[in-house]
Amino acid sequence: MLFDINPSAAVPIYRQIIDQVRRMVAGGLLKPGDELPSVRSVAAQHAVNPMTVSKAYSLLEAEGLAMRQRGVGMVIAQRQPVRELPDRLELLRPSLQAAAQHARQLEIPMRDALALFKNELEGDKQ
Amino acid sequence: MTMTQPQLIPPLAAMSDDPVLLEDVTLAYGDIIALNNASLRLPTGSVVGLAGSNGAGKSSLIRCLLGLTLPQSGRIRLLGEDPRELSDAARARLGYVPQTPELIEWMKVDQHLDYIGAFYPDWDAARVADWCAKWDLPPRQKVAGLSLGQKQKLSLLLALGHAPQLLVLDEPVASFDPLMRREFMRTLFDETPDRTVLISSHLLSDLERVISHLVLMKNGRVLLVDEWDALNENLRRVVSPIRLPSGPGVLAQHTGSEDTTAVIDTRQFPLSDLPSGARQVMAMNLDELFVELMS
Amino acid sequence: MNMSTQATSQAVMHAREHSHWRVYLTIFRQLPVASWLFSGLLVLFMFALVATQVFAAMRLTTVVFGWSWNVLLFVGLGLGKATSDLWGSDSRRLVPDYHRRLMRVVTVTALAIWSTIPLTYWLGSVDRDGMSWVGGVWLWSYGLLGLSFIWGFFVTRKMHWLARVLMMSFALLPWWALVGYAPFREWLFSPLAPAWPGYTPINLLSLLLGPHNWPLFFARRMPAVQEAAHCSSLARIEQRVRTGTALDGFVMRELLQFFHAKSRLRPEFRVCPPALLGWLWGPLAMALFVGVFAKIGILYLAIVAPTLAPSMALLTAITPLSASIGRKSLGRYTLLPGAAHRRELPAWLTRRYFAVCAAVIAFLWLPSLLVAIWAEIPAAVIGRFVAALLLSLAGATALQIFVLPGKTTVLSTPTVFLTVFVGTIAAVNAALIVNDAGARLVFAGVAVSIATSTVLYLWGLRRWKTIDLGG
Repeated sequence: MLFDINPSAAVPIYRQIIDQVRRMVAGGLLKPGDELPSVRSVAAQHAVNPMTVSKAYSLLEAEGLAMRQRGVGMVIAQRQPVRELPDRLELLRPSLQAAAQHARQLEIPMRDALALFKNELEGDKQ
Repeated sequence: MTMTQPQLIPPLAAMSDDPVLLEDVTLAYGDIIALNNASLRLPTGSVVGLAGSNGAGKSSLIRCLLGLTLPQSGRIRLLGEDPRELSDAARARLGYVPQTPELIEWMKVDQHLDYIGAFYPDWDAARVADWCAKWDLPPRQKVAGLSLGQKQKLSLLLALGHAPQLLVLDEPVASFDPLMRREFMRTLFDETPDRTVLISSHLLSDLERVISHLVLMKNGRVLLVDEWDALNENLRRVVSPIRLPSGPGVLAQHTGSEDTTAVIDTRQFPLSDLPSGARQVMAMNLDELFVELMS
Repeated sequence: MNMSTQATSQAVMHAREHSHWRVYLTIFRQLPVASWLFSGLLVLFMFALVATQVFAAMRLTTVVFGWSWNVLLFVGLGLGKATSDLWGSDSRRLVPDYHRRLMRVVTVTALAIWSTIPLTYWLGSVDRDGMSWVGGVWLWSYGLLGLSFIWGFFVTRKMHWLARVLMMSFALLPWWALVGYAPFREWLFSPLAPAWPGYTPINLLSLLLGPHNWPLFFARRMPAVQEAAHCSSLARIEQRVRTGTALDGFVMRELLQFFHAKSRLRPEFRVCPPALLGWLWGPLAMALFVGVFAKIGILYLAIVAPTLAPSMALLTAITPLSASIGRKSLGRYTLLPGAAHRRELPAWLTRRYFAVCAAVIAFLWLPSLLVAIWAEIPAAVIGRFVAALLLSLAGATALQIFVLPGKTTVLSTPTVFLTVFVGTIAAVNAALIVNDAGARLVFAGVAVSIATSTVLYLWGLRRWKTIDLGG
């Protein structure tokens, strides 16, 4: 499994990792019991600070999304925390914030932006 | 550009065994003030990026820290000791990569490594030889004949061979290609737990990968010290129709013909306090933050 | 035994295994490598020596230089150069126990060489013959030539071939002069005017070329710090300017204020004159040696040669030591008006430094003294000789400390002490100039040196003004 890390993004690296794991779990790409790559390998692969990776993993653990398993490392937790709609909306917020910012910069009217988002949502369903 | 009073965001958690401690260090060369009451504490295990424009005082800070330049005033502790009277035990735990490689030109690469390595009780010759092979550093080549990039590699190896607890790097990667820079950053974390790293660099995208803390310097002052993640999450660039009230939380603002661009810290200046009409609340990467605060 | 204690004890074992002798051996192994530049020269000298000895045996010529002088001079120079090369940089200041170990190795090596002096003296006993003080002056210039070109070589890396050619020609010159084409040799060695016996072409040539100006003259850029860190004071000063630790010795400050009427100096003014004087201390100090010896009429090369070579090696070795000590200093004082340069040099360190120098130098002279007694040289002569030597060495050290930047302590006890020394020597030499034609020759040579230096300095200054000192 590969994380997609962009160190020059305005979002901290640890948050990028957390967000990706959350999305992949929510989307079913990661299933309970799946192993996350080791801190060392993620750090070495992306040439990032291992502390950053372990910070992300610790936060995922605290959240209940992942758990430390002796001899294996981090695995996706068997019982995922029940996510109510507001929680899930929170997960969506960062990407929408970024999109909103882009829309403002491009001076796209709100109506058109919403229509585009709607279109994307519907397109995904097909 | 008006800069409000420098915001010294609360210093890093102060521990008695912090490997690096500078308090109110002032260094002047004649009328030129290189360091102006600079203070800095780095906790064990932190990887600290030291950024600032040319002449901001980065090298001076590093030189004062290492006892290579004596400041006019201030207090400095390096690995808990006075850097002027550094014990050999402390030296053995310290690695330093100077801005320009300081090498003995007539030695061969392996001779140089053996020679300097002999002084360190924990020199790992095998590991150094591995690095040489991996980094394409010909051991039998004379130092004088090396390229600048190779000299920097050698200079780095001389600082790394004894697995130092504190690694101080003054622009170490300027002559490395991108691949080598990645390789170098991996090496920083190679098997030495709790290593503290202070790295000064203009290559901000490199710093972003590895740092846990950011130190920004301007005009000899330490302008900003904080965890990089916290800065990344809390500093925002905003465009406002009116000037923001200066005070804590407003790090810089620049008033143009129509509106004001400001950098705010949302921990002290919540977004809800922004005047109506404020727009473009943008998170910044290190590059952008640097430009906003330094220009 | 659990894992962690095992690891700890392994670390302890490892530290024990890392015994000092291995470090010392590593350093020692580097010494001959560091002085490789001299090896070519040494071979050449050996060849020339053999030739001269053969000629001497065939009664074709007299031997001017013996084994002892040459071997000791070049081993001494090599050792001094190796030390200053290895002494090095800021990053090496952070290597554990670096400088002390290096000094120990160098000192022990120097002492080992010193212990061979009686042997080399025996080998070169013919040294005692046929050496006048004019020859001594010549010898002095000649030795300095070697030094200046070697330093020049290291400072101006881009002048390899020329430096080599010059070095070799000057290395060959005296031998060629001794055995070469007789009329030319005679011209080379005879005075230009009967009233000025010492003004021989060879002397003037040597004096003109002697000072360490060539690097200044040829430098296309200021030498990079890491290239020549301690081979020339110029590099040292440049390093200080670059790193902002430039210090102007107070002699220089006074001079500069006199000439430029400026209290704040542009970098090139800070750099050049101290560098220039830094280079001149050697010739000046040696001039003092020879001048004093000449006056008291006891230029016994038999004593001077073996004494001088290790003393020179020692002085060369001590130079970086004192430079490094100079970085720490005593309290806070202002060297340039408005500039708060702070130096700390604990008084005990200064005292110990001088004590160590005095002890080592005395120790080095001991065998020469024994040789002198054995050679039945009168005690009064030996006494005068020792006094002159002490005075000269003290003068050399004093000059060095005054002139090399970063070591000036203003109005401290050592400064007063040194001022008295320098004053005494200046007075002695002034008297010599008035009373003695030979001394006038020596000092005329020094004057020529200074004039050359000044011209070259002004020349170099023009180019240096375009060099960016920012770092």
